[in-house]
Amino acid sequence: MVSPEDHICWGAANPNHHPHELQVRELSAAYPRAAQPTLDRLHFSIHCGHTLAVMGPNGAGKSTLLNVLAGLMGTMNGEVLWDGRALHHTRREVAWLPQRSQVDLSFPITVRELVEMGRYPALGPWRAAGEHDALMVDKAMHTLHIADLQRRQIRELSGGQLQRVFLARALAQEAHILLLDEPFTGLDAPGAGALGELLGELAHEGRLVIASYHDVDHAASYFDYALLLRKGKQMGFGPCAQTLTRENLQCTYS
Amino acid sequence: MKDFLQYLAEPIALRTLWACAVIGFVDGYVSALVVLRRSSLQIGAVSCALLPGIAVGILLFGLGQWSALAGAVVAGLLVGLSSLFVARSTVLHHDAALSIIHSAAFALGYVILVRLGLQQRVDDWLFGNIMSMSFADLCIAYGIGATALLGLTLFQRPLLLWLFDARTATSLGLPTRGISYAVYALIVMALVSSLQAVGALLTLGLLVAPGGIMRLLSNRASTMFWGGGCIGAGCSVLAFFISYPLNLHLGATIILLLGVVFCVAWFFGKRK
Repeated sequence: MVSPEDHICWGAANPNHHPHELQVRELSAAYPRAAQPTLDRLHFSIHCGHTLAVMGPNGAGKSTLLNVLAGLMGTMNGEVLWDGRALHHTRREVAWLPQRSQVDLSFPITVRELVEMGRYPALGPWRAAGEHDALMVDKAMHTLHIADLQRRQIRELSGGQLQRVFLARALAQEAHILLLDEPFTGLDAPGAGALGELLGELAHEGRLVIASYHDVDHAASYFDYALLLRKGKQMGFGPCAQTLTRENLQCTYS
Repeated sequence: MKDFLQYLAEPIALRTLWACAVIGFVDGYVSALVVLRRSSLQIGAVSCALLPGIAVGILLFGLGQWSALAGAVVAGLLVGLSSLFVARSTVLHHDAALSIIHSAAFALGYVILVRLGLQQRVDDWLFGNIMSMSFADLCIAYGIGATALLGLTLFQRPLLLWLFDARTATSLGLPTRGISYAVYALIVMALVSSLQAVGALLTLGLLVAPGGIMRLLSNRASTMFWGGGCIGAGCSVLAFFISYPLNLHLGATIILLLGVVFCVAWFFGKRK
C-alpha cells in the first residue's frame, strides 16, 4: 500500500491557494409547473474554509438549493458566482454527494472504481489514468480511512462507509465545494460526531462544505455557518451563533 | 445426421450460422446495458410494439424488407416516447402507461397483419425465422452491430458513470439527456436487428438474459458487456447445431438455451 501522504497537496489545501468566495445573488428557482418559486431571491456569500448548514422545515427548498448549486437544476433568476466566475463554468470544482437511498447499491462496482470516477472531469472519456490519477485516488482513500475496503463491492458497505467512499470520490475529483444532501440521516451519535469532525477537517483544508441539515440542537456543533430557509425564502444567514437565535428559529419553523 | 451435413454445405447454412453469431454477440453485449440500466420491463414493452410498426410499414409501402424494418424502428421510438409523455402528463406511473400502450399497439399490429392476409408470416415476426435471412438482412445486422459495439466501447467510461448514478453524471457536466436518448435509440436498433432471428416476442430474452447471466457470474461491469456478448453468441451458435438435427425452432431454441444457462448460473452464481 502506498502512503502518498506528503507528496502532494490538495488543490484547496495548497498554502498558495487564495480563498475563494461563493456568491449567491438574488437566486430564484422553480420546478416546472410549480405555482410558487421553490427558491425565492436567496442572497448570501461565504468563503471556502467553512461548513454551512442549510436548515429549515420540510419543503423549505434545502435540497433544491443543493441541486441548483450542483447544476442538476436550472435557475429562474439571479446568479451564482465562484471566485468571481459563474459557477456552472467550473463544474469540476463542485462535487455533489448522493444520499444512500439514491444510489443503486446492486450496481457491480468496487470502492476503488467508485473513487476513480472522481477523476472523470480531469480525464474525460478517453484519456488513460496516469500515475498522478492513481496517487490522487490512493490519497483520497487514505484520508478517509477506506484504503482497506478498496476491493469491496459497494453493496457490502455500511451507510457510514458508503458516505466516506463518496467523500473520497469528491477528494479525488479535487473538488473545492462539497454538496451533501442530509448526510447525517441514519447515523448514530458517534457516527454523526465523527462525520461532523470530518467535514470540519475537510473545510479546514480549504474546501467549502454545504450540507442540508435538520437538527437545530446540534447544528452549531457540526457547522460554523447556517442558512435558514422557509418556503424558499431566506430567513437568516451567518455564523451559527448569530443566526440560530430563538427569534430566527421561531420565524423559520413556526 | 447426413441431412444436417448436407445442409451445412449449402451457402444458406453458413449465412444462418453467421447471423446467429453476430446477432447473438451484439444483443448479448447490449443486454449488459439493459440489465445495468434496469430497464428490462421497458424493453419488453417496446419489443412487442415493434409488431404494429411492421404492420403499418407493410400497409403503407407494401411487403418488403425495408418497409418492415423502418416501420419497426419508428414504432419503437414512438411507443417509448409516447408512454413517457403519457406518464409525465398524468398521475399514471410509467409502468402502467407503458403496459397499456404496448398491449394496444400489439393488438393493432396483429389485427392489421391478419387483415392483410399475412397470417402465415405473423409467426415469423413473433418468433423469428433466422433461416430465411437474406444477404441484405445480414448486412443490416452487421451495420447495427458494428455501430452498437463501437459506440458502447468508445463511450464506456461516461456510460458507466451515467448508468451508476445519472445525477452525479449531470453534476459533472455530462450531457445525460442526450446519453439517455442515444442509449434508447441504440437498444431499439438492437431489437430490430434481432427481430429476424428471434422475433418480437422472444427478442427480449436475447436482450436481457446474457447480461443477467453475467451479472450472476461477475462483479465487473466491463466484463458483463464482453461476457454477455460471448454468452449470446455461444448460445445462438450452439442452438443452430442443436435445432436442425432435432427439428426444433431455431429462435426458440436460442432463448431456451439462454434459460438453461441462466438456471445454471443462478445455481452456482453470486448470492445477495
